[in-house]
Amino acid sequence: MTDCNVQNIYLYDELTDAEKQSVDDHVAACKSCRQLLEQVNATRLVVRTAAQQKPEPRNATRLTSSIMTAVTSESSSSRNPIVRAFDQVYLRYGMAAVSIGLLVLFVVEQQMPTRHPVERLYQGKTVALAMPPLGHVVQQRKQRSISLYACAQSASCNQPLIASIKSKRVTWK
Amino acid sequence: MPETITPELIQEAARGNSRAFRVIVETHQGFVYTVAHRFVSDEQEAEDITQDVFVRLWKNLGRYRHEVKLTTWLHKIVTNRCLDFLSSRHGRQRKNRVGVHAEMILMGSLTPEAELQQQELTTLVHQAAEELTPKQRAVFILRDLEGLSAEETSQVLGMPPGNVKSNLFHARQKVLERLKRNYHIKKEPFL
Repeated sequence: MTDCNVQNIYLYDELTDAEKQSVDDHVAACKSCRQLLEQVNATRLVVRTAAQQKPEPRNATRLTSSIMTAVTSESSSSRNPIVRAFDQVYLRYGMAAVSIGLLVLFVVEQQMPTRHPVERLYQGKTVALAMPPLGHVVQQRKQRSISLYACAQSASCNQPLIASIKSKRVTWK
Repeated sequence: MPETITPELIQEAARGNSRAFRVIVETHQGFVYTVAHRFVSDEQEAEDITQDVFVRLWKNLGRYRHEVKLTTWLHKIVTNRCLDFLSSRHGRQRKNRVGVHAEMILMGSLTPEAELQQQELTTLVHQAAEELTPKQRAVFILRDLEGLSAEETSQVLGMPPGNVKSNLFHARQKVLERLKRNYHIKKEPFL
């Protein structure tokens, strides 16, 4: 007698004729396998009956209409060239690549040292506008000369001044 | 009686003829809904899936190859859609729900008692199917409930024949155990 092969009993209808014969021979001599085969056959009948009972939509006409509405709206959106263009995989990948590139540029820009706005100002055409009025400059220079003269008169002030001028290597005339 | 789906009709639909496509919908929406309902055990979900299946069919009809049966192709689309649903969060939440099959069409010419018993057994089969893993459920529904051949089942699921057999074995084993357990609890002989 061959060994019990439970899988072949459950899949009896899937077997070749030779395999079925082998199972039949075994089942004739094996009580437990015979009982199992009977249960499997009974279950198959129940499942077959269940298969004949088909769930159906409550309102088939309404379902057809909703399907056709969805299909029509789908086809109208797919006719729109912009929507269709965005549907292209390559375009989507391209847009994603451009977005990533812009993001990288932004991050790099943020990492670079910031230049002082004044530097930019003097490189541009707005330099004249940013300068103080000419009279004000003259006034400032005059004020500075007076201060220097006053400082030169005082011993406590002129020594550090002279030292600082020397350290800057400026020729004092 | 729905019109027969000819290759010419499919070609017309693929060219964008919605009237031709409507004929395909009217002919096949019933079986697509049935398969979807067997997977998800919910009317509204089954209708949504049916609608989605036909929208996908409409979009991809241009790629249809005539050597494959349209029903096989539809089985493939609806099964994939249902497996996606079952693996989704929403589908997993529904896993423990007991299915309601109130809208089943009962076979005629049966006594009320026999009808009741048959309904009970059918409900048990569907409950057993809900306890299967998605792959086992797919194989069981396609092979045993939809009556597809082993080759068609393998083709629809993109699964090697050996795996189909293995899943079918486990599915049948679980369904049998479910029926036995129920009848054991009720202290009635099994079938």
